[in-house]
Amino acid sequence: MKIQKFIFLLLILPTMAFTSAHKFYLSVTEVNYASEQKSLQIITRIFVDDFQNLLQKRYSKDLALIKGEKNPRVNKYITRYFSEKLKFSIENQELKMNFIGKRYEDDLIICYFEIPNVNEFKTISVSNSLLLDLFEEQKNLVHITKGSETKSKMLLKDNTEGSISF
Amino acid sequence: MSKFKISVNLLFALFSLAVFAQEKEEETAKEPEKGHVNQNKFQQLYQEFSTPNQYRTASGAPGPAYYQNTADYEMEVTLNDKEQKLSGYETITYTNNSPEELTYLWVQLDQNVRAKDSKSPLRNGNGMAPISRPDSFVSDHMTEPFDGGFNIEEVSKKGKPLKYTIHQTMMRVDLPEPLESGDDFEFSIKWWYNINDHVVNRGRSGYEYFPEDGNYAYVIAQFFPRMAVYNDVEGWQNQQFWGSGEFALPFGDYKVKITVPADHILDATGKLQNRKDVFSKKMMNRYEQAKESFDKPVLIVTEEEAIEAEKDFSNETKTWEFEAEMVRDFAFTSSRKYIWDMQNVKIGDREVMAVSLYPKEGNPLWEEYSTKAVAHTLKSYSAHTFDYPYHKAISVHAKNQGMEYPMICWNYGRPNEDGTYTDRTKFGMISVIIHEVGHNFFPMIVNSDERQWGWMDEGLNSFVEYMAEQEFGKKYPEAIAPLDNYPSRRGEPTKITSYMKGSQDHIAPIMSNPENVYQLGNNAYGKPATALNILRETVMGKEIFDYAFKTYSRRWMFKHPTPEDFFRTMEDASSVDLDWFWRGWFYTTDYVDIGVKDVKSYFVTDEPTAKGKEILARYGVSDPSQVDAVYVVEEGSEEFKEEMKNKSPLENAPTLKEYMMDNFSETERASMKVPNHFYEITFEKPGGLVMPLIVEYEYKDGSTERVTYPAQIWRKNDAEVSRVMATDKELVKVTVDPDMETADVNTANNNWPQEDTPNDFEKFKENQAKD
Repeated sequence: MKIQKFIFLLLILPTMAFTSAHKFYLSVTEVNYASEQKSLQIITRIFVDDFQNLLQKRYSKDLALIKGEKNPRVNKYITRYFSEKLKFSIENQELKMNFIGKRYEDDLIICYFEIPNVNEFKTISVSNSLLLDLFEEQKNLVHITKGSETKSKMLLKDNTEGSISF
Repeated sequence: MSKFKISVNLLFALFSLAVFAQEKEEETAKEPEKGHVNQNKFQQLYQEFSTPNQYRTASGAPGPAYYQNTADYEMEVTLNDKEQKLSGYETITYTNNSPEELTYLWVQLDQNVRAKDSKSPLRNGNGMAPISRPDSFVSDHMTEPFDGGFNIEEVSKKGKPLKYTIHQTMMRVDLPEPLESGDDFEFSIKWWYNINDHVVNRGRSGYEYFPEDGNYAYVIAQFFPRMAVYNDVEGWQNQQFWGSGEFALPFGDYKVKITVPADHILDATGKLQNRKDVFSKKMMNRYEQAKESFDKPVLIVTEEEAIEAEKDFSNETKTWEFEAEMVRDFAFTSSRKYIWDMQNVKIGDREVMAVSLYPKEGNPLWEEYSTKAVAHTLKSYSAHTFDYPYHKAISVHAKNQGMEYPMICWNYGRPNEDGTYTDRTKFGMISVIIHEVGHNFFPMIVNSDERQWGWMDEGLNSFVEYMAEQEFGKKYPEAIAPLDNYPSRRGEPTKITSYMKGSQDHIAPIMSNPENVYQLGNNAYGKPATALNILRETVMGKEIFDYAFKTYSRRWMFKHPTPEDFFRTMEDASSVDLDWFWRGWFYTTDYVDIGVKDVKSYFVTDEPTAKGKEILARYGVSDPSQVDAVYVVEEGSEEFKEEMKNKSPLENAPTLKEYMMDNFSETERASMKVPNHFYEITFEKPGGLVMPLIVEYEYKDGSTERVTYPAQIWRKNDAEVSRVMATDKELVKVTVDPDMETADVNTANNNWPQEDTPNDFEKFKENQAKD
């Protein structure tokens, strides 16, 4: 079988404690190590209404996430927020993410980041506290793919950091 | 036919056997093989299924000795709006229809999940949060827990106390003398409890407080001690209520009187008995209008009236009286804040009232979509199962929960304070209403055991929800514009692949208890719903599936089915052997991954090939010219000659032509087709799940051909299978599962020639650069 080039997207829905159907808070971040380009390709999916709510509460009321609308301020604040809440490091060296862009799909906003010049690694640490400043129940799922292996971490309020070894 | 030809045929038959035997020999030479039990994915589920019996038959229907016990309730309940307390006195008549005698009864005390000494919060591990918001730190570590749970003041029979023992969420009532088969036992319980805030505690019932006007909106359920189910499968279903596994409840008749502040608006399970006492004249008139309105809801209480009602807090009370027959539970909602609308819906030969109650905070969304969604759900589900048998279905707006009870359910979907709302809120609301109203069918009427099998109601219901949502989009295109199809969150095969290919550490088979799974949403809702959708659209076909699904729904309407009853009925009513499907999708965590591995092109020749000669030699034929035979050479191999490509098979292999001339007349020959291309296509199946192999062949002239090989193609080789195609046209492309209908988790191997597609990230980056 050909080595999968696809990055896994695991939409793990949280257990819906106490009710039959529930509004839930979840982000899914897929990270793929592209060994040829020596870069980490990062895709984060968040519910667009939750994220808009966050940007408005944290930064400015007029930040709206609307499909097809180009607002450079939105990109600026997305970059700023992510650089504070989603961090990767290898051998205790924090890596700098570049914002590539965003798009919308159904009720999600999908943000793309890249970390260039990443040498072959065995262990990578991730810290993810996206939206935890707004929702206690937020769950942040991170999948990291290197070669044919994908490993996952579910990061929660109690536990916002983890490290993954290949 | 001459003897010579017969012997050649015989020889060929031997060849194929011999080749097989020889290969086996080579394998065994390495190491003696071990035996194994039947691991075939098509073996029947005799080990997994319980043995059919007089209660439940092999056809999946209730058997001749099928029974169910009943519990009838008479209750008087009082809501204390000032202290948010609920108290009640109930008399239960429990009828033992089982052939056994019972020496004790089990009663469910679900409120005890919120008792201070509840074990429920202790059942999960947690960690010390490195960082917390102050309010959550205080609530986690510095606040007294909520003082919930039932206070049982009396358990008695005709005033005489009965002996009882409370164990967490279950109460055993010891019977003074055994309850014999066919007899009933009447006893009473007096109780009260503090109502929880369902918004913060995330309960399935409770209140929401509105600080702006000081009002409460109550959605009240699991509010009275309820009989557990006793049956032929579990004995007493008295597994504790931990929080995730929902409820198992017997059917019965209810007479309930509910006393609330006089200015509250209330609705509940059952038929309102004293409408004239609790409705104003104006409401009465509007109610009569609603009975005549089949196209749009009529407001019984308007928004202006509801806003007016919020301002005063009456000290008077009113008692609302309800009666319900053949329901497994009872729930009600009550508040000053409610706007109330109703619309009549024609279902078969009966009329059903579609009802909504919502505070002004739900508008403008609720006045537009709630009752519309209720009415649509009743019609759509009835068409897929049976005509909705109750007289009404109510959707109540509760802030962030969706929860179902007979005839009534709570649904989320709250617009922003300024009345705007996102598509996610709107579609979330419509979907949850379809889902919760749909629960009337599963499990309120087809009454499965939710405590043990969450998927039996959630999975079946999410599947019918998917169909109802898609039909909603077709019926109300303006409600989903600019989308073409309703954006269902679950049901589409492509939506479950991310879960199914995920880390096996966090996946459990569908056939698991809801308490023990990692991702209840995918486990009990998404995966079974998708499995049934695939079964309907891809494996069985709609007509065959729909008949079987309806048969199941009707057989088990107002009864208690088990998983086997469902699995067996779906086969029994369809003539489709589905054991392989149930085994893979429901009993394992396997996933679908099917691909095309290789395509070889062959040409025929009557030049003996090396391989042909080798096989002949094995049978003592040293001179191939003694045998009339046709050989094949693979394109690109050493024996292949470029000129073969331009000749027909009859020119490449004159033997074939001679055979045809000797055996068929000219007219017969004219009607025979002579394919120019012979392909051997090899398919691989890295995934554990067996599925039909759906293949699209594309030819050089642009035409395509779709072939679906049944799932049984994998029954003798679960990893790889080849098919030979003889065709006039040159094959240029092979696509497996072209419409993505099998939930194939890996589509990278679905094409020949393999397309080296850039990943999602690279595609996006490239497009960004272009912009």
